[in-house]
Amino acid sequence: MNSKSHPLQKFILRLLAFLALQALVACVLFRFTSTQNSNHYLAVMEDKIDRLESLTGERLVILGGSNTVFGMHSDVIEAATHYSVVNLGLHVSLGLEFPMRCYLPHARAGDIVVLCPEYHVMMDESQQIGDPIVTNQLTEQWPSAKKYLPRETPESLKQFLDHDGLLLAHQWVSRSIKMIRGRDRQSDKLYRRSSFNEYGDLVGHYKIKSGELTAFGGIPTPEEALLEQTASIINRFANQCKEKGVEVYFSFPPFAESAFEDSQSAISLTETYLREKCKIVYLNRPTDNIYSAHCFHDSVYHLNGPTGLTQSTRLAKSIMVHR
Amino acid sequence: MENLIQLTSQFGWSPNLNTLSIILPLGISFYTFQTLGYTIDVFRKKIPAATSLVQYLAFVSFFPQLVAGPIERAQAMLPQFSRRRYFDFEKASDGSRQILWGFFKKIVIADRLAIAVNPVFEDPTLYSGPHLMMASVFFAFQIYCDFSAYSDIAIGTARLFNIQLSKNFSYPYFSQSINEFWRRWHISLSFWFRDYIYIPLGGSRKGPTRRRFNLLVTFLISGLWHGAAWRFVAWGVFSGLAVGVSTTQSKLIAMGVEYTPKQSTHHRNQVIETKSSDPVTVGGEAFLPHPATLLRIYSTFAIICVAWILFRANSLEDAWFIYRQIARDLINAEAYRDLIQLMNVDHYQRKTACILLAFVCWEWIFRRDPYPFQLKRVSALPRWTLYTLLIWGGLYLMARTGTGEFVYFEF
Repeated sequence: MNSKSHPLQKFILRLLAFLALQALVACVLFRFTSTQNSNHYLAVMEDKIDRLESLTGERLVILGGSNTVFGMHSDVIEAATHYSVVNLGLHVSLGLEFPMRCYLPHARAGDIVVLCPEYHVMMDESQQIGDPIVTNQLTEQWPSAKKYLPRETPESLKQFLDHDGLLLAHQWVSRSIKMIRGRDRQSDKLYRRSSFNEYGDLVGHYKIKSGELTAFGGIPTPEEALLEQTASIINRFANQCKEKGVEVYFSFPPFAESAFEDSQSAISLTETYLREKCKIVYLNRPTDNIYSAHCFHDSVYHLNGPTGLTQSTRLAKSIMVHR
Repeated sequence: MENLIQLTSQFGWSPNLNTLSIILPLGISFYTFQTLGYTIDVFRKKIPAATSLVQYLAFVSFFPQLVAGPIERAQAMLPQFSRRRYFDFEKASDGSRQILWGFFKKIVIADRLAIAVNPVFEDPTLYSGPHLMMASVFFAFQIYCDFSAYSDIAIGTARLFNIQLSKNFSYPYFSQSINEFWRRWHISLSFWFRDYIYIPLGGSRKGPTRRRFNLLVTFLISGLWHGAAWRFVAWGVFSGLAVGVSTTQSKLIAMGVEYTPKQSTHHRNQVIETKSSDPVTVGGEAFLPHPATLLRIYSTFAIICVAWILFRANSLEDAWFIYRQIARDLINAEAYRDLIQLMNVDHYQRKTACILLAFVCWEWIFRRDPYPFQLKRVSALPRWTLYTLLIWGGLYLMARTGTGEFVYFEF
């Protein structure tokens, strides 16, 4: 071997050693952080779909983000409406369409659907599509979720590296940080599959003292194109439901008074736009569901137990008015 | 490209963007500088004409720096292509480190800052003076981390082939005068303009008034090169005037008890005549800067930020609005309180500010090195740990922020 090739050989060996180290780091991160957790918050989606499939009579299905998880007493609605209730809501970051996609394959004539999306999912582009990191977590915890998600599996290595690979790396690192920080706080104890009841409502927070609400900076006025997109998703869903003999109702989400003050113009614009473009039944107005901060558990959308009961009773009444 | 379409449409010809992409391929403005420089140097008999077509083409189209520089000189590059090359372990290792540092700056800092900056400049009317000020500072670092990252990646890649490209950035934001800033910012372009525009115009040989005029013309052309828009013209004029004023001021300072001149003789054709008054180490030798040094660095940076507003704003009207809003809220305590409140709420902005602060401290600590990630005095274990942290930290943040194109790809 020529003596001048030695530095190159040395360089390649070092490079390979470095790559091996990175592969080892990836394996360690994967081994210690990427394990399926049967009690994961997102894994509850499996139970919700099971309930939806198992019910034989007339069903009332609630679709939305976590506002429906916290603020819903499905038993109260069931008792008032005599419909078997399924709360399919889970997480705002799964996007506007996700709960709709979950429901549609199981839709049956005679069902009632109550759409109750968060304002963010209607007015923020990234939220509307859904957060890929959260959807990735969902498929990890509940692999069947893939059939309800619009994302396609990567077709090439480049696509994998550009998208899914990055998400995996993000997940591994973020979980490692949490593990290092020993994050096992009260909130993490709440956000678990075991905190849900059989209807799909979160009940774990009933016994926990409400904490400080997550900081909220107000919703900026949305662009018309975004509202158009929201309206088109809702209309498409409503039409598909209509074809299957399903009625669609719309309810504005519960929202904290303090946050409403900063978001009033955006919310008002959204309401006007939706009422004009989406010809479905509106059960209430945004102002009907505004509560003061002490009525919420940990965020401006998450009602505490007692207020959730009030909200559910009112919702049940308004559903009955339109029956 | 858009500028050219705009220009040609004035003469009744509206070329198709796809056609122009073929006629005017990637990196055309950068290799035009190189080929122009080569032609002028050969004409002036400063260098002999290249005798090998392959070497000449390699010089013109050397891939690492083809798209956004550094703009290389034939006299530095051609000999490197003509000599026999061998693989140099040290240079290749150092080059790899520089590439990693470049990617880190681009992905972790520049792209993160872009998310905070873009909405503000899209509609500045929605923001208070302090917020606009913060966005301007963020943009100053965004463009620095973005552009210098590209240069780091280009220089590092070239070093893998044992080719030495010229340094393009040298801790510009620690400069103590506007003159010094322009010797540390986009060095290859500044010196190209010096050698091929400023000096042929007469440089500083024809008195102070003519020198200032020459500076103004040089910066005006530099502004126009960035785009056919009034804001770039204004940016060029502002920079030219700032350098002119700074030259006079630096001369006055040099007469006092300020930093010791590095050399006693001045090159008669330097764009910035006070080069000799630059400290040997940017920002001074002391680990902690003297308050006067800090004040000079701060004022220089503030002036640069004023210029960057012209550069980044969508129009001259927007830039004017930003200036007025900043001036109006300068002593408005309420506006500052709102910004602090927003920072308390907005974790993203707060984290971005923290990352930026850490970056500035890192650069300050390692400002004696050619780039701040050389880690010469660090042993292998902490170095590899740091590389690993940088890679995984970058991947972690990239999934959230995504990656944008390099800012200077549009020029």
